[in-house]
Amino acid sequence: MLAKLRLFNPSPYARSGHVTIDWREICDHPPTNPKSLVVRDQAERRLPCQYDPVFPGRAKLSFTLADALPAVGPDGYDYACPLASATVESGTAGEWREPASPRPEAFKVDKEGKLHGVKLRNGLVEIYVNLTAAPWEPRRCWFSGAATSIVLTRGQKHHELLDTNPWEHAAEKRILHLDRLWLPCPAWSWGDRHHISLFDSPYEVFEVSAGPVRGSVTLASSPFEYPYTELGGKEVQKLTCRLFRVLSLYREANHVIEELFVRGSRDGDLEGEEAFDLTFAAHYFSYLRMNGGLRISRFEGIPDWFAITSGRLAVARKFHCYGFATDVHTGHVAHPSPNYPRGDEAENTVSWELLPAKSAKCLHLFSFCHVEDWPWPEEGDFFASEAALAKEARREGESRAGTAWYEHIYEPLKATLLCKEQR
Amino acid sequence: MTGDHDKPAGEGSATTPSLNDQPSVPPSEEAKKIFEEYLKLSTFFKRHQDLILDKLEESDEVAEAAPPNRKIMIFFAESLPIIDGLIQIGTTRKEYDEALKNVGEEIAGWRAQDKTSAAPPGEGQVVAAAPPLDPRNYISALTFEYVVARGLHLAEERAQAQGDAAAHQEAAKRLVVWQRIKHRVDLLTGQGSA
Repeated sequence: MLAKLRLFNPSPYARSGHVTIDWREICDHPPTNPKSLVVRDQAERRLPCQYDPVFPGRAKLSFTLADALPAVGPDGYDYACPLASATVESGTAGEWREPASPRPEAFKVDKEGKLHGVKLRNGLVEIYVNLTAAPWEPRRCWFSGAATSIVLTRGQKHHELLDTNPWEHAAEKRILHLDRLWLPCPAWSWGDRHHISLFDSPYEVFEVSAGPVRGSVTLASSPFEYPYTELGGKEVQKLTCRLFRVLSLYREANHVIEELFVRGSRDGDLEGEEAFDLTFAAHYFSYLRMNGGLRISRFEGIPDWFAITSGRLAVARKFHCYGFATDVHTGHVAHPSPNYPRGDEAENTVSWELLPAKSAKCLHLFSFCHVEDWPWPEEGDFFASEAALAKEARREGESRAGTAWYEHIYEPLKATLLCKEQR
Repeated sequence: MTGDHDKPAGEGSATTPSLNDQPSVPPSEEAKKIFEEYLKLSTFFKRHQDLILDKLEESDEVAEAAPPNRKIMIFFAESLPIIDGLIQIGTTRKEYDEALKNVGEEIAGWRAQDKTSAAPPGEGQVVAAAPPLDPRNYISALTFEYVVARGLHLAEERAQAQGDAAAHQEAAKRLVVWQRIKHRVDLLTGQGSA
């Protein structure tokens, strides 16, 4: 046995799902054979599990619970009283049953031998992230790191989330577009922040992994420099830095978890011992063409999450919904995005900034409110009925975004180390 | 919704391209004005006409599969997003805002004439139940009226065209579909009854 884990459900209701823990909590060094890792629950059942290398020192172990963890009492959970436990072993003994749902996938997308993007999919959602600035035309060179297609599947039908209309491709549509970054300057510096544009320089794929629990890709931005001076010094020093984005799509999930961090070093080796994390603030841009325009739901005093829904019913009787949540808080959500150069399309744009942090965990939720599942009025004023349904769909979208924030960002199912193998 | 009041077409109407050469049931002058002058949708619609009309036929198919008491509402739920999409993509923001402004002023004019009702003369049951009239909905409904007039016209042409028996039968079937769509859209625009 490599380690024994305590499992916690921090919610006042029973929950099942996936649990992820930093590998370094379990072991100081990577497993010699990651495929031989086995996680068992208290009943000795082998659980779907996987090891993702992600980045040196940031590897993760994920597994899927077989049963729901019971609700905690009204006083909240107590770290001294776990609800269940699991063991991590090395070996292959014991059968395990793969869930019936499609296995998550993560893979690179090449065109004519050249790397263009990465795709994550799990049978419910398919996300395509562009790695190049100009995927279609050289003059339109601002798509690096943007997800330009989010396709949701329901039964046999596939629908694009970023555009409600079936004709005239929305060439600007994108989401998850981390287009800018700023890093704070030292207090004695002339400026207060150092800006970096990310939309026009390519990303590289640092790591790709997939297994029974999740598909995951680690993207690395093009290297950029961070100039600074020592206190009292005049000579400009430079750090070589990169933004790393870890995108993970779990099995049966309709959201992507994104982890962000910026690594910098003087010698350019970002994986070496001399490298360290820098404080940064990320800026997101989105372009969504939705029927009836975009409706932003954000509650004053709740900087952790917001939702974007369509103003009117879209083709195939659905309302589009995107939710964003983070553990570092968002600043102002601007709609339309200021300084967007195509004035006529500015209504389709939204942008926001994260508050400064050394790492950030964000969630991007993609869903439709399917009105065909709701009771449709027999007669009356169609427009009034549609407005009432739009209001209800907005509430539903808000509820989904808020729930996703609570369950996956604020209070995820937790595993902590109880004991580990002594060497 | 437009009723039968005859408003003079705007100055640009003589030069604005029209898609209805001689339809048997032409759209109202108001619908024509909104579609061709305010929204300037003629060129865009012509480009995507086949797809849009096919999608409307699909909407009718979905509605026909619904319970009898829900057919009309389901039809609008399926089809109006297609019309809204046509407006959203086919017009510029400026044109749409101007259309909203002009239509808003017209509605205000009707309300001033008849303070007891928010709806224009000839308002039917379906929309009259929702005062005050929203210019966005009014524009959608009249754009729908214009598109359906075009769809019906093409269906009639197909039904009258020479061809083999199978083609003729198919054309006759589609004409029935378009007559049904026209009837439903008349309910939305206040020109028909359920």
